[in-house]
Amino acid sequence: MDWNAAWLTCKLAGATTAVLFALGLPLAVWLSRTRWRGRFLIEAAVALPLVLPPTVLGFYFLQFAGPRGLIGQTFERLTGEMLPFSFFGILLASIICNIPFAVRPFETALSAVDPSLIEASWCLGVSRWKTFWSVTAPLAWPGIVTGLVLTFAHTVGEFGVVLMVGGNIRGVTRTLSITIYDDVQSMDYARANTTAVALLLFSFVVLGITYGLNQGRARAR
Amino acid sequence: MPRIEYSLLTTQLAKWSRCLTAIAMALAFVSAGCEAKQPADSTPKATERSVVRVAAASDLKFALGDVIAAFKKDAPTIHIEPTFGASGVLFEQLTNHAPFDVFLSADITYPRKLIEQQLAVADTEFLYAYGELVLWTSKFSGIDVEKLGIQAVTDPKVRKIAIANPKTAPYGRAAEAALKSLGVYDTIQDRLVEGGNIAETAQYVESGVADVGLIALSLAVAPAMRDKGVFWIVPADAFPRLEQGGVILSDAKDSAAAEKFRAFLISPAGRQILTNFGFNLPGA
Amino acid sequence: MNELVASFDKQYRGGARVQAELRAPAEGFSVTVLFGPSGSGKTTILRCLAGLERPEHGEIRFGADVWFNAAKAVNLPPQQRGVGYLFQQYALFPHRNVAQNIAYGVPGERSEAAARVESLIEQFELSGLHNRLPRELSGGQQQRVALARAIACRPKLLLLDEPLSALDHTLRQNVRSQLRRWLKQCAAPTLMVTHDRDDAMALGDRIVVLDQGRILQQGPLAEVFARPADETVAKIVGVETVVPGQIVERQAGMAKIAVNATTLWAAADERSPDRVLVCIRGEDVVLTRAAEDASSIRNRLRGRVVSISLEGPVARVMIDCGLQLAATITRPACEELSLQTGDEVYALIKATAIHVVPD
Repeated sequence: MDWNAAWLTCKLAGATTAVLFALGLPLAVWLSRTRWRGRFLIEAAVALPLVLPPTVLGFYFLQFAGPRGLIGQTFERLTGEMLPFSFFGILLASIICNIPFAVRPFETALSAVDPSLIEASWCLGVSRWKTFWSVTAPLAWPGIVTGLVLTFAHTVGEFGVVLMVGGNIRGVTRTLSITIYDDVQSMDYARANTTAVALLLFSFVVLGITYGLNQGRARAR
Repeated sequence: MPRIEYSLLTTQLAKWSRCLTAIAMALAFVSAGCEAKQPADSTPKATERSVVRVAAASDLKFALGDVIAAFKKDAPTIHIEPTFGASGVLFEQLTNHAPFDVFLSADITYPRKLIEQQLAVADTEFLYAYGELVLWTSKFSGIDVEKLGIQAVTDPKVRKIAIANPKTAPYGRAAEAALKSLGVYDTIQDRLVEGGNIAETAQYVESGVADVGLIALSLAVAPAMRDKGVFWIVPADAFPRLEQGGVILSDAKDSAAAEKFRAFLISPAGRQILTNFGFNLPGA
Repeated sequence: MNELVASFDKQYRGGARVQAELRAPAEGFSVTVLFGPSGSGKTTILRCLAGLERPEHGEIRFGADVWFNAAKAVNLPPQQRGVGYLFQQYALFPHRNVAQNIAYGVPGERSEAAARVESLIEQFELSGLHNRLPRELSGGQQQRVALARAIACRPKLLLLDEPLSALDHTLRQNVRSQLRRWLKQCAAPTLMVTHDRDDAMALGDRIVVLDQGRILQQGPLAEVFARPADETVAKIVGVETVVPGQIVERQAGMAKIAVNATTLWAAADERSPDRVLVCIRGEDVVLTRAAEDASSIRNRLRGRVVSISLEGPVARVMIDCGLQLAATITRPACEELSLQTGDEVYALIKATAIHVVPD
């Protein structure tokens, strides 16, 4: 097992999840509340990474975030670094790929909160902002956590886009799933197996805990 | 769980999780930021530990391991980080300024193109080996490639023939050319499977997914494959010569260290290792 | 005089429209009932008053405070209106216990707020239930918690949306009497939405009758019930018999009205046109088997019992006596008279109890 790659994978998954929590939650809040007729367009855009092949995402990412693309050039001007083949590059690609894994569970959970509870809070004189944190978020919390866990687990397994965008550079963009790919190509099946089993167990345990907690909550209700 | 505590627990959990994610986010950005900064301010002196990133063609997968180990004895402060891939794919990445220092290609035309585009340093181009192509099969396949030679591919027992992707891998192009010039291409064309690079191709045939495959000799003689199968060397005149060349890239962080590595590759010690892996050497 | 003045127009995308023109006291204790069938727009009006919906045009003023003014683009959010709202399904926060629900939104220092919560818990007979979660409470308890929570913030105006509809029949009757007591203790003007006549009669001082998004009549409860302005209002407030008639004779404030195959004497305005609707409440019809009896009753109709339906403590008897007449009598009375379908019976109606509405 490549511990360098393991740490990198953790960092990538953690950062992706954190960013999508900070950015995805407001988007999900808006989607769950708005009555705008064009809402379905945003929802389709959010779901897009689910159906697009990672190669499509990787291709467009390299186009826009590469040295010839607008985003890439801006980034380079600001930091002196390139986006592709950097940690920030795969982080950005990972965030885009995982939008649906975060936003959709968030939105579902937020929409499931009884609107009359929110209105009751308003009538009791509590501001919209405080109402969100006192009423909506606690009640939507299991769904939000599910979204976070799915995002984390999915990022750990992300392969295609990370390879295309990251270039498989050790310590920077070589994540665990890529090390498995490398090991298989090098016919080091033993090491590939170790890593694969570890990932499998990790994912299963994480998902098991999440769904177990959800089940417990549902029964308590 | 006592019912009374339930509502308190969920609010506690909520608070904790918010804290944890905030911390995680902060940590991730800080460490990522540190990562990003490192390469930029590394102008190492000869005595400091420096890193040379090598983009290497996949046929060097095992050979380069030995080279790096030997080089380490020579220059312990220089750390070599190889990334393997099909030469064509690596070339694409390098035209997009992928952060490598040295490019070892299975086809010297790629480094030449990089020099043309001023992405590589002109007078650092070097030819390090001539590649050999073999037809390999697992020893359990029951296909006698040694006796049948290229005709083995026409055997009805052969359901899948692995070659590397001709578009991106020089060994794939060579394999395709060989099959055509030896007159068997049309017969077996529908049985071809393409690996993304030559190492993946070798893995296909080693695992039995493909019955036979055209792979690099340097992979066939490597410990991982050596005792697992038999092979037939494809005659050199059946395909355009695989001129394997390298170059130092213009964006190289530590040109001095890169130059040292390049020098080692073409030194007698380096050449010996390459010979062990079946490469033919220029000037030999 | 401090009043709640609401005059607005709310249009829904599907085409439904609610127009409100109402006045209610804004000071001191009073209960105004918004009364009408389902879908008449009562809850919409309540929500607009609370600030949960925004009307298209109009104005809502509470005393001197302007809560909403379309022309001046003023629209105070619910947080700034100081209303207490009781939702039909109570909307208790499931993740907080009883004490926390009631305390939610109570301003001020911890100790102050805690004292207020404590006194409300006692007042609403919720002692000992501090730590229970809403799902562990009975329907009646939930309702009390919701009410206590709405009252805890000392609202200027209390809005109740069908406060008793989620309770079962027997509980409803018990709570009805208590509710008025609690509302009185709160001492704030109250607007209550209901479609139940008994609720309205037991709890309301004033009534606003709605149908299909429009306010048809408003005023003191007894008055509106006794004198509905037109047929629709009469039907809504539950006047059981409404039949067309023609005034054939007038005499000193009284009119003789031909109704189907019979005639009735009723108090009628001189200015009333000849074509009228006659409204008779079931409670005002007396049934007897006796043929002749000296009494003050001007209207004595002979007829046959068409149907008898028993509803709890009352019996609704339909009689064909030249017009289809509905009589509401007590069950014991019905049994004493041994009324059966097809029996001959006399219906007695006081002329003053018959309400005449221009057709």
